[in-house]
Amino acid sequence: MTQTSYTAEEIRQKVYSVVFEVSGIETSKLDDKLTVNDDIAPRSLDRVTLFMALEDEFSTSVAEEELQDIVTLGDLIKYVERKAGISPD
Amino acid sequence: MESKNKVVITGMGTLCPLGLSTAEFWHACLEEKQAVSSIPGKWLEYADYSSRYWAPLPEIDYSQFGINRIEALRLDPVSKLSLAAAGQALDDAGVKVRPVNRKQTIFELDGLDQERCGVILGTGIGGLNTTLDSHTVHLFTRYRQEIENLLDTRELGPDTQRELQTLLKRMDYPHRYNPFTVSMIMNNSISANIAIRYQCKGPNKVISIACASGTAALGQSYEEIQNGRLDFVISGGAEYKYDKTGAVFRGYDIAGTLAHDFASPQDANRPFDKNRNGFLFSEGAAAILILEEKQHALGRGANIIAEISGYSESFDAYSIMSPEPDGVQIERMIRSVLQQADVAPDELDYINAHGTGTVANDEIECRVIERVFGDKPVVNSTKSWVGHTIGASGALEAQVAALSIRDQITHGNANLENPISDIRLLKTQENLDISSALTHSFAFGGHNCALMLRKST
Repeated sequence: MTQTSYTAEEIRQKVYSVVFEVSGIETSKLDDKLTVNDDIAPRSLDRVTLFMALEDEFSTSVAEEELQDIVTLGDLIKYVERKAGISPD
Repeated sequence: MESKNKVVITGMGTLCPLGLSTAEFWHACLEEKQAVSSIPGKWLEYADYSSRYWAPLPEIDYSQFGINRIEALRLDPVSKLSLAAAGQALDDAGVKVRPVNRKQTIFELDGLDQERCGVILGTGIGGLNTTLDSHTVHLFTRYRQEIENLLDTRELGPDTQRELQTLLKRMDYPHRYNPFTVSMIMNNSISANIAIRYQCKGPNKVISIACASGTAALGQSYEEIQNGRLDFVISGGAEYKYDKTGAVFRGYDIAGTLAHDFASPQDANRPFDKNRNGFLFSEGAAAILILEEKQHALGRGANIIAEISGYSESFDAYSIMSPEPDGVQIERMIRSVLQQADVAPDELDYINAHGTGTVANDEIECRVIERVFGDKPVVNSTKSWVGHTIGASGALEAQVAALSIRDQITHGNANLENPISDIRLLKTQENLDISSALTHSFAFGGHNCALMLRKST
């Protein structure tokens, strides 16, 4: 992912769009408190699909060990922001 | 005699090297457009080959066929081809599809009984593309990491660094082992994915008998409808033989089956010509036909393209890679399908041949045709235009047979300069009276399948 390609808002919208593609949850019903494992991608293959789709969307790679701390959609957005270099670690 | 259901073809979908619709494919055959070019240069980094030609697919944007990005990540190319062609075929058959989920990935077929709709397809190698990718990732990820670590941590001379970097560049494969590998590589994924998408809950299977897979799938679909088990079958064949390194091509090449040593790629594909020396490797195809019980089709006002009037199979029990030299079992199969369809040999109008372009196939095929039919029916090879698509080939050829009956015209044989036989091999397209057509396929292993079609009255 190019470090300065996206603004924070663009990243949020793109993540929402990917979440809709994977889960079918309308973007208007998404909020940062939703949990990845229970609300968005309850089956393990859904989670794998979600991360593959994020890789595809942001032309980046997602390492499994980096995903340990991601609990909520908010965490996921922050993770993508960090990958894009616009949010401090 | 017990009366059996009549079976008709009401729709078709096609993605192949000659185009991304049935109409494009059919018109390309009639307009004598060959799909052939030189093999990808990258393949030459891995091995030397006798053949240097193939028939590539056009670039395909699957989103144009209703396959979204998420689905595409989880499907082998052979499944994507099949789904795209199935969507076309349903549309061609006039079947309305209704989305039943928000993501628009699952549909119901309007007005059809789901439990009497089946999906029966053929493929030779299924999801081999994914198998090879996954295997490569599995084999080399850690070695690649070791090389990267070496480059990061050791003081290496510039030549060594350059060599290692070149090596890494050549290890070009996906960075992730695809978690959907199992569902992508299994042969039955092509029929399962279609039936899940369109909620077809009748018999669902994939037949894998190499070059005869597509014909066998159509034949078995015909029998399911004929015997009253199903009203409606999404049938045909699909194959995808590309891989990044040319490993699949190498398998056919090293077996001596491919056309080689011609000055121009355009000259290489020449079934039934004295100078032929193998078949043209095709990247792949999907050819889907909607088969339907005739009264069912008429009841919903479907357009009938042609009727299927017989199906027969035999097995050579001779060699895993060569047809039996006298074609005894091929002849027995043809006589059986003629009897089923109640067609006398001198009544048959047209044969869409297996016509691969290998020395052995074409000689045996011509001899059998001559023994059974003399020089009455016209004969052509669709592979002469589109190359050999293995598991899809029989279905592509059944489409051509049906369209030849519908349009009363058929295509010629590419590069037929010096025919090997006096049977009626067409050099160019011809307008003809075609009431009946035979299409047959002979596979590595020794499997033979024959399908008879006729004008629906």
